[in-house]
Amino acid sequence: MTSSPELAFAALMAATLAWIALPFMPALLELLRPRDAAPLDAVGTDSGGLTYFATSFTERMQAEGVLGATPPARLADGRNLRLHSTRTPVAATTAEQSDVFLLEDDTALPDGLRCSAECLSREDFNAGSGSNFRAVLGLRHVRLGSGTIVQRWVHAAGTLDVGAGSRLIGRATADDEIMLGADVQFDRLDAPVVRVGIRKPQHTATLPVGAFTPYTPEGALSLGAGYWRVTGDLTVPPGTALSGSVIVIGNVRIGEGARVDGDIKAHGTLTVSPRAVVTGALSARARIAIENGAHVSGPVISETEIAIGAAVAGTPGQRTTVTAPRVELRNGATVYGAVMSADGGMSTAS
Amino acid sequence: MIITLANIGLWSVVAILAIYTLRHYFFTLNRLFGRHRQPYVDVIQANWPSLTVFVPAHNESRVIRDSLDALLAADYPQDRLVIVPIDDRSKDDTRAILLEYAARYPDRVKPFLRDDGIPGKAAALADAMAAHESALYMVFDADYLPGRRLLKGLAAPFFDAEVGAVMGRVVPLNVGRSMLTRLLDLERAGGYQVDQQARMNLRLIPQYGGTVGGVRRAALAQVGGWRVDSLAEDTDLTVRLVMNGWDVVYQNRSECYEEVPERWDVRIRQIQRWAKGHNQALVRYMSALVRNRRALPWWQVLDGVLLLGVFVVPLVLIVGWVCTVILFYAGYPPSWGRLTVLAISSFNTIGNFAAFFQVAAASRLDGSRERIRMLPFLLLGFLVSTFSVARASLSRASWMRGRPVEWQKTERFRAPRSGGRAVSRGGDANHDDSQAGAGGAAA
Repeated sequence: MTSSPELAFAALMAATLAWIALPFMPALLELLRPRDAAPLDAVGTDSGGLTYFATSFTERMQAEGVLGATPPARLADGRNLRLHSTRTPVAATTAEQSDVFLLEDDTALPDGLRCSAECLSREDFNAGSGSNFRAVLGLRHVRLGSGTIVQRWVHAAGTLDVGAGSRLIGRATADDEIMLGADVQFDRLDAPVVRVGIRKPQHTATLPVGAFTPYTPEGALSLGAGYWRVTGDLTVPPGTALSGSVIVIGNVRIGEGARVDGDIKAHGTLTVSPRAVVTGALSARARIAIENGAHVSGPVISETEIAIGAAVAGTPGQRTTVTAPRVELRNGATVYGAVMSADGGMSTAS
Repeated sequence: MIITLANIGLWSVVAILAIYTLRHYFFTLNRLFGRHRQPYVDVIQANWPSLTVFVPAHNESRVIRDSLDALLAADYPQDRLVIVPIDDRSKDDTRAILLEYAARYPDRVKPFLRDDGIPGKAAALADAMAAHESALYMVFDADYLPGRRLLKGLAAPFFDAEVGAVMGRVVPLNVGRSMLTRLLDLERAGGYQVDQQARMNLRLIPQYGGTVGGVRRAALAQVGGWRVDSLAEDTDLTVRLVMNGWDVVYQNRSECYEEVPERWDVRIRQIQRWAKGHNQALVRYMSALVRNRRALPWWQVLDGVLLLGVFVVPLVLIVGWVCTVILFYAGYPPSWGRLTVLAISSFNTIGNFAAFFQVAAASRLDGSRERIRMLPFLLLGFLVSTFSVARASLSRASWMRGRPVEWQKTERFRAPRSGGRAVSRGGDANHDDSQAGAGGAAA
């Protein structure tokens, strides 16, 4: 019995060591028999190109002969391929359709169709109003009726025409043009040109620098090589031209008809007044507003929201990006390039 | 007297460690529950600015081909991109390889050859950049393997006029080679996925890491260019840019593979070099950063101070252990009795796990499910880092100003390429010199 304290100590020590060793058991197992020792699958694998899904779907359909003369009745993954044409039109139904649809001509689909699989169209794709698609690939033009919802992606090899009140979740791309009706919700758009409401952009003639009165911000701190820092708000007076890039610790207003040759960064809001021209990029921590008739050539980046009126971003020869958590494209807005809205964008009629 | 000093020392150490512990938790909770700030990640169409990519090389014949091939495959507009591999006095075949690539791609690859001048990466970059006037400069170490879209991803933030430098994420390639590589994989995840991105989210100071990143030429010129006497030119530049009002941003989705050390001796030399360079920057800029507090938001000044001090923490920790031992054997009762016991118990329960929590959160954010099992072994990595960094922090080089530097090269492990085969994911690879993501784990 004299050894009881020693035994108790030994037992306590053993229990403590076992307790400490416990988390090392799975570690040791993972070291000896690795189950997760591959490099992180991240580098160069992102599907950053917005047409990634459309491209991979097209390749898959080509590989399965869907785009050939006699498409198969069933795809390799077991899903049925359902044909739609003048001869074999899909009947109107409210039931959800799980087949992959192949549209052989430009016969319009019925209103209210709900497709939980992809739709592929050899000719123009014409969807009725109130439809709901998982994904749409049009090898020519795509027209979505009013109130249409696309769940994942839509791509048109020609133009993509989106009816009023539609909702484009995920990616919407076109090789020629995207035309949005009023009140269309979107996430990511990319095309040579994205328009809202009208096909003719509200271009502002860009006059040569000599036509403007030169302007240098008062009290600006030179950062060298054409960079300036301004503490407080900045207004570029109407009709003047500012050459250089400016970082503003405050709000910025580029006056009516003014011109900026450079980039502007605002810690607050940034407003481009009517008929003003910016040849560089705009970025702001708060809201950016590009008013009617203005033109911005470079990327437009806001950490909160962007509103573009009947104005132009980008140029026909040089695509650009408009990106913010929320983007509002008003009637007459034209963007040559991509519109990226992480929390949801909207086209409006006003 | 000794007891009093030990007591003061211990409480000072506890205070410093508590601050770093809170910092770990704050960053980790921000990454788990805060808004992910990445305003430039969606810039996919633009009139991309002119760009020169520099690849400093000193005896890099084993790896330089892979790096150049990866850069040549980038989707950046070819008429805007020049690749400048810099050979600085290599004694192997590096120079011959660069000349071979220059002959094959005369408009795209323009080697810069150095045979004299101050040795070292910063001096080599300073000389080479003087010969090229593009709007943006990017730097990749000779062993890095950038993905096809990486250059655009790193260039996008520069459309923000305030951005002076951009840092991408470094991802280990040779993860499965040894226990060390697996631990470094976890450390890197914590350092980049949590530490760097949290700083980005909170508008603090993400660190430009000297590779997988870029700098605006105008900003570099405004802050005086590269300091050729710096052991850590990246930390040095980060602090000078921030003090001059430029933003340093981190792009979590701009990932690039690297090779991490496979042997402990190589790792120890690497982290000691980082520690010396970081401490050198601490000596140079701590005072100026604090004096500059009216020009910067206070939270940036605080983060800058903590960033500069990160490699002193292991030394502080050891001082704390020594003080504890002195007080214990002196029979000195802890101050404030139960409160002290409670504080120590609380720290043992929560504080010691701050860095582990950060790494675990990073693995979760990365979607890695099984590698988290290796977490307990990080204890070994931390012990090795603690003593290595503490030893480096005691060396003269850590605290000297204006010391000329030499090439501080990390050993490469990748097998030399034969038959033009490119290194792929899961294959052999090699080493990084980026300490940008190491700070979080080191603390």
